[in-house]
Amino acid sequence: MRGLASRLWAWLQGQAERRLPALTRLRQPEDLPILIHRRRIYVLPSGFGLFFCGLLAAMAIGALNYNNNPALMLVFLVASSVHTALLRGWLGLSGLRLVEVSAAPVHAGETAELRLRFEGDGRRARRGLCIERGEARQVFELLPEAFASAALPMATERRGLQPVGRIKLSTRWPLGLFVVWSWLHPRAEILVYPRLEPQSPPLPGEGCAASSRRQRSPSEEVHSLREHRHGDPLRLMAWKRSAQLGRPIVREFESPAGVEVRLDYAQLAHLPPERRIERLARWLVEAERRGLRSELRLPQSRIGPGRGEAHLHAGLRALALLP
Amino acid sequence: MSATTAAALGLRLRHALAEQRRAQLPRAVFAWCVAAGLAALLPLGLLLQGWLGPLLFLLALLGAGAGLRGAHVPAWLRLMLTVGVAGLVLYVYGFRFGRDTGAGLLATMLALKLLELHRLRDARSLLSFSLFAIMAAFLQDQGPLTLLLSLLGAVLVLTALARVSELESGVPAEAPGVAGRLRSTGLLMLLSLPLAAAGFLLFPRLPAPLWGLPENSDEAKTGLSDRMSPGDILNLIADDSPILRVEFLDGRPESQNLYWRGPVLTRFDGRTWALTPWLSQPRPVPASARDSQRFRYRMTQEPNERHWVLGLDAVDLSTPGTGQELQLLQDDSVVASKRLTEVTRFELESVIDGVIPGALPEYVRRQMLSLPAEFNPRTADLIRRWRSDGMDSNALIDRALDLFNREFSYSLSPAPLGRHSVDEFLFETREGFCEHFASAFTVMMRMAGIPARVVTGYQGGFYNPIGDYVLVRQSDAHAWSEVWLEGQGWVRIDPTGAVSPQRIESGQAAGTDLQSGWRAGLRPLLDAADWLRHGWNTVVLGFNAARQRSMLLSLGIDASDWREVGLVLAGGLGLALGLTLWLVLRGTPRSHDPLVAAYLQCCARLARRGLKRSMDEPVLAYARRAAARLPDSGQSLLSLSSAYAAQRYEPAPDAAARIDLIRKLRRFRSGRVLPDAAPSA
Repeated sequence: MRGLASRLWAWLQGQAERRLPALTRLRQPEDLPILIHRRRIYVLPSGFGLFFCGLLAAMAIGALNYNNNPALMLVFLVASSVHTALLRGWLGLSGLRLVEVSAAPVHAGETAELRLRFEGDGRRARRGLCIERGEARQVFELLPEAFASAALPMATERRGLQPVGRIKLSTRWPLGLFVVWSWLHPRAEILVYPRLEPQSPPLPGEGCAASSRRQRSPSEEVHSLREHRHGDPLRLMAWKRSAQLGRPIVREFESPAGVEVRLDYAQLAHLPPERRIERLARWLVEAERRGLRSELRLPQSRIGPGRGEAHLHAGLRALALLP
Repeated sequence: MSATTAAALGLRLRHALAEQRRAQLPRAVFAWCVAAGLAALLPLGLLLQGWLGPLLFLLALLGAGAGLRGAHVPAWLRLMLTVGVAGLVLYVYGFRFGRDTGAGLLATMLALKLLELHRLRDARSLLSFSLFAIMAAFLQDQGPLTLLLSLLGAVLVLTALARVSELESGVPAEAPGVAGRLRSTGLLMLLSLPLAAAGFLLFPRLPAPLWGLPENSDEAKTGLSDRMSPGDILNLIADDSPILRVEFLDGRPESQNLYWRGPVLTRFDGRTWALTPWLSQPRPVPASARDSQRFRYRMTQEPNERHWVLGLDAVDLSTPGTGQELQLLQDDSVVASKRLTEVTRFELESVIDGVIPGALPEYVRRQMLSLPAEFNPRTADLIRRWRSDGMDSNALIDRALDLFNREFSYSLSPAPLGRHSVDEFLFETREGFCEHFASAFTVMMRMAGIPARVVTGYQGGFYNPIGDYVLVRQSDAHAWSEVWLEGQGWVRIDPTGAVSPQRIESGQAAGTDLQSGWRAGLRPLLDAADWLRHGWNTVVLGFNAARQRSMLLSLGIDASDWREVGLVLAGGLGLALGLTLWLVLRGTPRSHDPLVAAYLQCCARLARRGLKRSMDEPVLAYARRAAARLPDSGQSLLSLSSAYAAQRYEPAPDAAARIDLIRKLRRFRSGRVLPDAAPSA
């Protein structure tokens, strides 16, 4: 019975979305910024709101019947206050703008943090705003002359660009008697890196350089010194310099040959495509962790050689966007 | 033995309370709900009988205290308390179901609801219940104290509602304090006032109720009753509560003529005067009286839970435009068709010293002469002696009044009377107050064959110069006689006036409390307070379908046409809504820092003139942009803005300069604004 009802409701919703896109604004993604104007704000009483209105109506009928003016005044005063509260809740949404949707990329299977940045028109404090996406919800508020950003966890399944989807922005502020809501469907996508292969063979060509006693070719020369960063291998430490300056310093090499690890998509032909991508992603991360310069060769493109966050991001992004 | 049992029971109770520590409402929310519930219970509790109110209040406090400490009252205890207290309420009201019993039960439920306040749902049902309790208090009483307490209760209920809903919508980052919350509710209600007023004034009223107001099970409201035993009126003299407020439309009678007629008592059993039931039937209104002074007045009568309308002397119901829905009874008292359970307003015309034509029907005459046998033999002798002297009725009346005047004294603490009360009063004690004189005089007249009756009511009243009306209090209660004289009809005779004329001229309690001591100095203040209350009574409490109709009529709207009324209602609500919306939207952002607030207000003023500051615009950049379009005040805006920037961002600003700047920012006005130049390409 319950299942039937929910299926019927889902079907009705689907019909409404198909037939009345302008009314429901559920399907079409929109460009940012999205201004929440009066034509896309919906209001319905909450369950308690319905009960409360019923109570007020009963009180009004009683007061009218007995022509009891103080009771009637009480009823009208409370009812008007409820209405003004509704107005305030509505105004809390009206004029709000969603200006930015972003999320730091994560690997598929991890949970991304979706950040939504809202901007008011600077006149009112907007309290008790609540964003919902699927099961996840978060409450935030927006003070006058300020921005607010709210974060929602977003589960990721597959690599690539993942649309943000539909977000419900609602408020029950200030009395909890009415739900004022609007649907946001921003044209925004978040990047999801490929999943990392859990067990992968060592980096290619590592047989010779497996130990830290790496032979440095004479053509390599110290290019510069920089501050130690987390994950820098010990062998790069510039010990004397560090002792002089009192903080850890590492050497950076500029190698004309430039490539310590070459990661080639074509060489992994024996694996299914998705496994290849996962392994390459793992190797890319591994190379970065060990401070090795890497080069990624994909069917259509070539990333690197290089090292560092930007390089890693470019590589993972290219992998993520492979068809 | 019993002590140990009690101790064991107490231990078990404490155990049970401690076992179930699982309250889920946060303490602050709980406290708000408790405050709202108690505030709503207060006006209703004060109206309950005797100790019932304090008991319920104590119970609610105990429950709230247990809840605050995180204890759960177990369900079996709650059930026992509910059944027990409800039974107690029924017992107190004598197992009769009336409005007051209902109010008592409602108060019980509200008080006990405080014992189970665990979840959001409980909190919300408690708050809804509280609102209903406030309404129930209004059905019992509409006095100023109830109004004040109820308003307070409503504010607290709404505030608690807002606080409770934060459980759902999240607590704001800067959570406001108690004062802040109350202020925002107050603001919400103030903003809603236009809408509430429009609804109150324009919402169509029911000309006749759909169902009747349940009566109170207990009618013992002090005041005039359908019988008069010795000492009854004395109980009223100590009571200062108002009964009537009367505005005379043209000319006020002298105060010795202000007799407000109440129940007419025609049956005497030797001790008690009582109403004759068959004389309490309506009769057709007779033709107008001749040769009389007429007074037209508007009378606002406080609720007395009875039917009597306390009109001035002989109310002439035949005058057009007066006395709607009133009836004249066989005994010439005037009654309303339903019990006066609320403040009611009448417009009446009365005749003083009028001659009402017509004859006294024989069966009425017989009742007006009837006396119990074998009572007061000495009085009967005296009357027989006077009659044998050849006196006619008028001479006899004069003789009796003369007797009272010469040999009797007015006293509020007379000696008690025995079986032959009139005999003992006339020949032995010879002191008393109005009810003794009226009773004795009426008995004497009946013995002499003159139809006579006792009238109870009020006499006199205080003239309130501020509001130009006469206030009659309970302490003005009085009793006098009326006798039937051929050719003159019923004539009012007040034997008390023969004894103590100054009692009639300046009121029963003359020289006792109102005129003397500290109250004399407060006189203007008391007058003003009563005038305010009278205004409230007439303007608000007395507003009904008829008044609404005449109000609409003065706007040129026909109240019988529902389309016009609907249109007016919609228009009024729309206007009020517009006003509310404007007030809500106008609210400029508030800042805790007066300097920032002053600056933002200044920006808001400029924005209204079309110079809106965008959110990412620095203070000085905005000032430069705005100054380009402000020929009059551009320079001062620039200097104010740079001073503001300095105050805001300098490490150690000057306090005096800061105050000065705030004042200047508040005073800043833009003057002329040039039209927007073409955007610079």
